[in-house]
Amino acid sequence: MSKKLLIRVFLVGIIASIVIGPFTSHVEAASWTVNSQGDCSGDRPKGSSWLNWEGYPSSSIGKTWGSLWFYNGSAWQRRTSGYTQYGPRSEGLAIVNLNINYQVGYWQETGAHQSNFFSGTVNTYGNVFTCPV
Amino acid sequence: MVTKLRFLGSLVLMAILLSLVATSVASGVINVRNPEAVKKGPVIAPPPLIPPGQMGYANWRSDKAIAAPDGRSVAQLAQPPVSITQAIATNFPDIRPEQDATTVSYTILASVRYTGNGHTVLVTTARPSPAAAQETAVFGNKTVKLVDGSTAWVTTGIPGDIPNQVVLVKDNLIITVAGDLPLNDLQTLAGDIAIK
Repeated sequence: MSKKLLIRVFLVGIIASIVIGPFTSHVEAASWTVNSQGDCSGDRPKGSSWLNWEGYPSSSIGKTWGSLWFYNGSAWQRRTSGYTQYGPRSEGLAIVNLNINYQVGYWQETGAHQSNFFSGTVNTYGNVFTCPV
Repeated sequence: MVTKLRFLGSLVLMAILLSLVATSVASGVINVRNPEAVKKGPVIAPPPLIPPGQMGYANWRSDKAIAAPDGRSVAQLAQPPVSITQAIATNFPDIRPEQDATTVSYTILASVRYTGNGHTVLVTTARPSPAAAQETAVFGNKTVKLVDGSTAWVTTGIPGDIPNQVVLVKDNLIITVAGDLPLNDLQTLAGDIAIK
């Protein structure tokens, strides 16, 4: 291969990367979601809170604190809680799964989430549910 | 002589510092933080501090000032708009003693329900347990300033019939103004809270 041909291939490569580059980054757009949910299954209150992300730098870390709350007729009491951290990864799932022996009444799952790709703390709230159903 | 005076002075200073620490612990100051400021470290998201379901409410005559039979603190709208006072109801839960000092819990002292024009607004008064007061808590997803200048934390999109809420701390109590009204309307109402 001649030097001229090599230079041509190199230039075409640079031009192609400039043209295609923006489309590629668009396709790989970064996104994250957070959520909490709870239900009563098998007569056990269960709750999950999670932070899901993709398309971020490989140094990305996600953290989730989950809590399962019980209403005793006059107070919301935290009955169980958990914490998880996931990463560093460009995509990941930091999820806390909770369950506990049931007590008749209302229950709710909540989550608090942090990461190094968004600022501050984000709370999530599951639906209020009864157990047993 | 000078040495003795210095020693006495440092003793007095230490006593003042210790009393200040003791006071802050005894008063149970709530460790609440702005969501934008908590970037690291353990944090809890308390649930919406409203009684679940619509049980336990009793009608309240709207021309009568709202007060609890046992004198407990009741947060309420100082001047509730006519549009949401077609009916007013109150809920004063039977307060149960804490199971133990380490339980993280929030006791609902009172909940006032305003309804009108198909909308519902709840104003609830809650008190954290000593363990809950010590934990770093975030009460919403955005920090705002109310019309009276106080700080509050807002959340939207909560599952259920009461999707929006504004939370503020006043007199060491946690006040929640929640409802199905737009968030801006709830913020306006939250700037007009009286505790009686």
